[in-house]
Amino acid sequence: MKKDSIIRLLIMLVALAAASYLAVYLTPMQNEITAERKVLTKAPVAGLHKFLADVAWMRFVNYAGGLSTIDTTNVNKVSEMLRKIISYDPNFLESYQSGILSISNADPKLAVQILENACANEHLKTNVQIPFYAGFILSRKIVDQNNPDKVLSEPDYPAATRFFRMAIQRSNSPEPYIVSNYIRAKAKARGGDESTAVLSVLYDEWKMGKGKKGEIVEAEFCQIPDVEARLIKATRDAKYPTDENGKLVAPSANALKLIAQVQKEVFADNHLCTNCISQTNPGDKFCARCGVAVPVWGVCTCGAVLKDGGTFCSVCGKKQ
Amino acid sequence: MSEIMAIASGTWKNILRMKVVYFLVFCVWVLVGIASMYEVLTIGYHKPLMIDVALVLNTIAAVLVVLSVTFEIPRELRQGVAATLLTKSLGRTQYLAGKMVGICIAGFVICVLIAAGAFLIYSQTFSERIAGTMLQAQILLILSIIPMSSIAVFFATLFPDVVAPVLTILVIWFAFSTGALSNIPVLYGGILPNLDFFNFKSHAVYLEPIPGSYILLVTAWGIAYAIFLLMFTSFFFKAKDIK
Repeated sequence: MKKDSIIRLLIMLVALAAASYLAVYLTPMQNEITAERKVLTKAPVAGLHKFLADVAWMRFVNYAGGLSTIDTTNVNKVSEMLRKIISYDPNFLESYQSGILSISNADPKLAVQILENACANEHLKTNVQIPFYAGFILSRKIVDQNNPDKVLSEPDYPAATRFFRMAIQRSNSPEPYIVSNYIRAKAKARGGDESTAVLSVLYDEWKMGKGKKGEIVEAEFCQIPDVEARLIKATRDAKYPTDENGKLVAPSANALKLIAQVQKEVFADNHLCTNCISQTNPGDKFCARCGVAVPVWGVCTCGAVLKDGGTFCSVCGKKQ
Repeated sequence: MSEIMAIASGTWKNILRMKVVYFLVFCVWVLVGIASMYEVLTIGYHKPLMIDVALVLNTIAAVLVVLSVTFEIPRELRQGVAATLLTKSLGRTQYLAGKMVGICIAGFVICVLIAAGAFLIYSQTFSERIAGTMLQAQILLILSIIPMSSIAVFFATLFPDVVAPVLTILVIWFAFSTGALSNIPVLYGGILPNLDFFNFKSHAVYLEPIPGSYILLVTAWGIAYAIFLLMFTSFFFKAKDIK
């Protein structure tokens, strides 16, 4: 073998070894950078996944836009189109937000399944809407639009609660509608009278926030904003429940027991009327809303009402 | 080295002198610009679409430039141009290296032109600055020309100009589709090419940064693989009877 050939052979082997070594090193590095690679379609599309997802999205918009409604007669085709988009690009947010929601009335189980997969997607881990949509679909009874007697999905409140909680935990300042849905779904999952269940849910959340865990499972809670304000409203609703016609009914014994507990623990320093759970003002002897006698507060020993934030009484000058 | 550069300059000048190349570059810019009109059809997804279209069209342009060598080498071999060149002091490996370098330079120039135009269109259309990731994705795409050109030279040397482009396209297609098979990294990326290393189109669309170390390593892989395939080709080319 000539010297020239040996040199070329050597260069070739060194280059092959270098390429192989780098490939072994680069493959896991690339998988780490692009986590979605694991769930991409295995079809040989020459790396054009994103472009094909865009094209499939346009086809979906075009097709779905031409339908008067998406129901059980056409949902299979629509969901197949959406599945294709997601298989090309699992990070395609629009396909979840607009696409999956459009099939939720016709195939709620599939919609939830796809949204659940999207919740586990690393790229979408901060998205609030996806778990909210899943929870929203799960908390409704969905019937076939063409056959109202056929129930497509019954409400699954424990599962809905899990998704709403996820949505709250993903946001620094969760939207009020997400929090309300979470509380309602959790209350429905507990069963019984809804207003009492809501109060019970909020009371447990409050206890969790105050570090009074007790028998509460920590993983089942999240930081609800304005929990005390919500508790005031929930206590009022539980104390004065109404029937389907909006007529006042008597609260149950369990509700009264819970209300008393909440008033004692949560509202001890909140200056609330024990009867109607309304805020009382400094110097009030009776509740301005229901007329019941209330403990007087914010008054100096001289009898003058203390001004808000004042260190001294503005009448006698006594330090408070 | 000067012999390699002489062959290279002949190759890239040949390509860059063709007016049709600039017409095609202009067409690509038009297509990128048209993506902004898809606002309604994509329900407001036209911005990511434009980034993606720019990357896809640039990839196609890179493949087309690389394919030109699969016509050029067989033609030079058939017409005796290569034989004339090789009677001089020029070695056969140098001839192949020159062709590869020439096609890489031509590809770089055309792809940089397309990328620059696409960035300008994007920033003007959306009044936005170009994100670093978009630039990184275009750089990776341009760098993929290095291994692609070695694949083209390999087939252009072994097969006539009817078969070589088809085989080159097929191999490039599958080399970009190795995502599912890259669990065998020594095979894919070692012996067989893995052009998927250069594919970060989704990243550019979602503006997720690509580590600089990855770009450096993947460039090193591209060069190492191109050298390996070039040397491998030279063994066949050495044994080839050139008239």
